Amino acid sequence: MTAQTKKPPLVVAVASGKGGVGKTNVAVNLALELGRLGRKALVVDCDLGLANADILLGLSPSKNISDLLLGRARLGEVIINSGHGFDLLPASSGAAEIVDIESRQERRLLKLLALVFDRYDHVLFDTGAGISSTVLGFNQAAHENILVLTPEPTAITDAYAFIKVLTAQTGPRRFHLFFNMVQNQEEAARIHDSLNQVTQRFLGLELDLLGAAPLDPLLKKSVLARTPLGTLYPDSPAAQAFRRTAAKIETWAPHQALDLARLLSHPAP
Amino acid sequence: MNQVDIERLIEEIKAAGRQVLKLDGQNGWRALGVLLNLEEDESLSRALGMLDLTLPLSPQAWETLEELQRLCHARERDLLKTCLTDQLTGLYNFQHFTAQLDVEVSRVLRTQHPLSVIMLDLDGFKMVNDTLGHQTGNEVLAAVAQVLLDNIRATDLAARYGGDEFAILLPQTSAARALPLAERIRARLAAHKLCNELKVTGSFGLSCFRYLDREDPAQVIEHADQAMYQAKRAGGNQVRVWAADQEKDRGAEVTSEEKGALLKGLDFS
Repeated sequence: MTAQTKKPPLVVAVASGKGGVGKTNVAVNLALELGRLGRKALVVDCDLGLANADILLGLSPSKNISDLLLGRARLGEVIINSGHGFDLLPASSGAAEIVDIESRQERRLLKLLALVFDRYDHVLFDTGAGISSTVLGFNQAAHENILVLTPEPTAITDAYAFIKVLTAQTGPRRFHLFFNMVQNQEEAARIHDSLNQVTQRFLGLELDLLGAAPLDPLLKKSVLARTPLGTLYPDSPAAQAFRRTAAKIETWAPHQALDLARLLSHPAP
Repeated sequence: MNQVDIERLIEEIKAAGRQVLKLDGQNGWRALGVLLNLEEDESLSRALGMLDLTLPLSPQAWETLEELQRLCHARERDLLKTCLTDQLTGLYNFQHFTAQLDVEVSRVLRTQHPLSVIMLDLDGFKMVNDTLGHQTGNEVLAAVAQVLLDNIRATDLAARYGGDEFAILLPQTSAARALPLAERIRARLAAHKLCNELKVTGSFGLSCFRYLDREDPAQVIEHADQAMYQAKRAGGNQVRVWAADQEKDRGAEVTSEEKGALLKGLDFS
């Protein structure tokens, strides 16, 4: 594909209101399946300070996003091949020096990333849990927002809180719900329906049901093996769910330019 | 362990071809001086840790070594404790409190559990010092520290913030839950007879940091401090909550109406 015909990449933020819902696993496995579909994907670990994409992938990167932000490394040195058909921009794990980056650094990071965006079809932001300004900033910058949740009351109310806060800050957006660890598709459909009614009623917002991965013991095994599920157990029910979801994402097209300008108006924390 | 033991140990180490640089046979941990091929400023436990287990020493010499090692570790523990605590009150010191605050703030961003901070300043403490002397003043501070320790929970952290100011860190605690705790401490302190039937009261300020907050985490201290000054200006012996923390359930927070709608009809059994 030449530079002339290359479409701009689609930037997708993967977020969750609540932590521990398997967000990073979702991001990693979606990128892997996008790779299988012949798409070039980059996962950006935005969970600064508590990163774990590299851990799930069995990698020990020598440089990470903190080095980039602190000017200790160039972008080319930091992005690595995950070995599973996509690239990774790792974050630092446990390093307290950068947990929440200032919006100025966040803009700089996004501008730097924009330089390599052309190499990719899809860029996935694996954003941290919660609603800190850094998390909101990355989600604001993306074209599409995937929200990962599990069928628990806290995950559902936190997902709603996330939608509400981000919408309050940026106006209506497209949210795609991905349900993790569900018993069956009906459970996901039921919760989507319920959540959708509430967002329509209170926020005037329609939510897309993107997909649902069943509770799969093989996922835990893959985490312990530090190898993505899609590589280790490609035929497992959850891996198949990620594959179906990636096929949907593949068809998405950027409906707007990546809005770096909007980030400049991003209110300071 | 006696002088002879150590002398013999040193002889055996020398006989084994190791250099013994500096000796002080007076007592255990100092006797270790700097053993073996280490620089003078390297720590003793490190020197011991580097001792080659294959050294041809007699069983008695090994026993002496192990005893020295125990003394060394005990000494290190004491040193660590001295570094983290305030000598006068036995509470944690300002430095440790600040370090723990950073840790707990990171935890809030990850777990989304709120973190509360209570600042306490004694009322009219200067008068105690001026009229009854610094010795009595010190006794009062130590007694107040004991009241704090007796009334906080195992997961809370009480510190002497400086002078007659104390700070308590309450992880996983909302302002609403921290308030009764602050009230209890206030009441116990007011009822407590300190040395010589002396009574002392305190002004308490309470602030809470939550993951929904977009403010600088460092401000939680500032806010608790300001609330504490409000309590002081209002005459002391009372607890004040930072004003914005009382308002936080509005705005982008999920309302109880929304929460009810979210969970209605969902069966989580």
